[in-house]
Amino acid sequence: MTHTNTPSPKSRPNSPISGLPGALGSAVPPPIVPFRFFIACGLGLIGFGIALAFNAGPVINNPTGHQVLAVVHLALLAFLSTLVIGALHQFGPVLGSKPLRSIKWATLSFWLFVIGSWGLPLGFATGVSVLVSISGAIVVCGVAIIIWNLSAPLSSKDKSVSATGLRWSLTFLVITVFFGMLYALDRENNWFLLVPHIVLAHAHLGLIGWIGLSYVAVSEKLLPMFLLAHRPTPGPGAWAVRLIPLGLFILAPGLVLGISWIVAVGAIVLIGGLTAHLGSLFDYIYKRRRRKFDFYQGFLLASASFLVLAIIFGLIAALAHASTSLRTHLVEDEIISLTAWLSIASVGHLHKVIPFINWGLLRSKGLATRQGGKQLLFADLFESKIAWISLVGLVLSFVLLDASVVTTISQGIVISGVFLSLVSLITMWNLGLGPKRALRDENKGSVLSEKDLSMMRNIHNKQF
Amino acid sequence: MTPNSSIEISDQVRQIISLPDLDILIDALKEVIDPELGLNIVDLGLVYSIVKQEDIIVIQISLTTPGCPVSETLPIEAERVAQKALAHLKTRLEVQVVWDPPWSIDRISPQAIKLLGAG
Repeated sequence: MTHTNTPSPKSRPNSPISGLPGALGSAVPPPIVPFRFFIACGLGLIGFGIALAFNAGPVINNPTGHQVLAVVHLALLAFLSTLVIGALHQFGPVLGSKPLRSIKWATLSFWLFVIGSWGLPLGFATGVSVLVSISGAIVVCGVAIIIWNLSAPLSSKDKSVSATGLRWSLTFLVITVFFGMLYALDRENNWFLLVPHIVLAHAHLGLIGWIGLSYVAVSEKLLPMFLLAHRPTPGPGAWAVRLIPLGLFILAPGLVLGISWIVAVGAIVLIGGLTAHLGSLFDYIYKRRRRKFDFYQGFLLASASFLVLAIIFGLIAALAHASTSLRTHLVEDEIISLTAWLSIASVGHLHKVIPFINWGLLRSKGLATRQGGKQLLFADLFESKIAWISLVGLVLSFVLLDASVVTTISQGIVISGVFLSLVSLITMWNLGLGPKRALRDENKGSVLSEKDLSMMRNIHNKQF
Repeated sequence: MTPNSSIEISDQVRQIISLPDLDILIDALKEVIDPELGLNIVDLGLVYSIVKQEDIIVIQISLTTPGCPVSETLPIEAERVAQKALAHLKTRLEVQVVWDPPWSIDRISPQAIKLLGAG
């Protein structure tokens, strides 16, 4: 027998398994913690779609009005932020090999965040300012608990691209919430005029600094894993998590103050960071990937296309000699494309994260094989054909939305909204039904014997 | 059949576990499937070595990435099947996770690369 790739002497383990970074023990929270965020985000996408369909007119005619604010907050709070927070509650402890500070407080923060993120748009839509204020305060409380809870795993000494990026993204969550509070108070007190470029600062901080940077950071950990595309050095992803925050720290004050040269410098640095992310993504997919093309890569590429589109819309809006109305619609399309980038990427990753959590649950119940005797895999817990349908539905919805806004055709926005709601229903059905399908087939597959389960429990107890 | 060539097996282990039993052990480890990739841990090159530490046979395995989603389940599963396979030897057996050297794609067997479909 030949011996290749022999472990070096220092790899000889002296420590028990529980002391090693991959052995998480109790670091990962119970499945219900991320799951309830994921269910809520599915409802958030349905709500976003419905709100969009009912506010097609204002989206074209009054993009900074209360109705559109309601639509935008449903998209960014009730859908995207809820999804990202759920993912971070699962991913943060895995990354830092440290648990959340408190599961009970995670439950409380979930309810606070969800109630606030629905109350806020409802307040905007109905014009009830007290509802906006109360909901805003509830969101702030929820976010404070979330940051406190996540600070435990993210305070580890991990200096990886993912950990660095997530620390920045949570910083931007705080800044975004601060801007939101300030704007809400300003609506009551009229301290300053909420002109579009000031509103845009808030939108860019939230979309790119908080949600976008979270995705960029997490993708640096997940892409090598899911694509089998490991690389020896961090690569361009390391630049992405440095340049994106730097760009935003220049761009946002530029937008707030309305100083165009600062905006230009910030935009250049920011685009540099986003391009570094795209470079990293394409390096993983085209140069290093060891897995055949599948729906997941479809989601990644489609979402990346919308990021490119967002940059193009942003540049055209900034540089082209266009009428105020057209410029407004181009900026709207930039925001829509950024939302599409993050929505498609996030929904794609849900098809990886949810089956993994469900798999763990089923295994803990002793389910060993699927129908036909083969071992139960993550891919058995959803239908990949339906995942493709979700992807196509999302892409069509956002393409239609972009096109309808720039051409001011409101019917397209209505159809897009209906599509988005349907995609959410289909995706929830696909991902939610997987475990039920597996359990239904249990008799045709096999379960571990009580002896095997007991053996595994003993090993687990010994190790963790 | 011979055990997978990428696994280092110490001479001390060979004195305790005879060749047929080693084959049985490796075959058992091949039953442990990475649920994301659908491939067994031996063909993925995740089983690094089988060594003797004091009076314990230690199977050193790694994972594709630290913090990998199955980092808690795969080692347990590997230890379970290994203990079952060699139950008749009455030898103490453990699985340990090692991170040095980090797992790399070079460790995947050519057959597994083919199954992954992206050469």
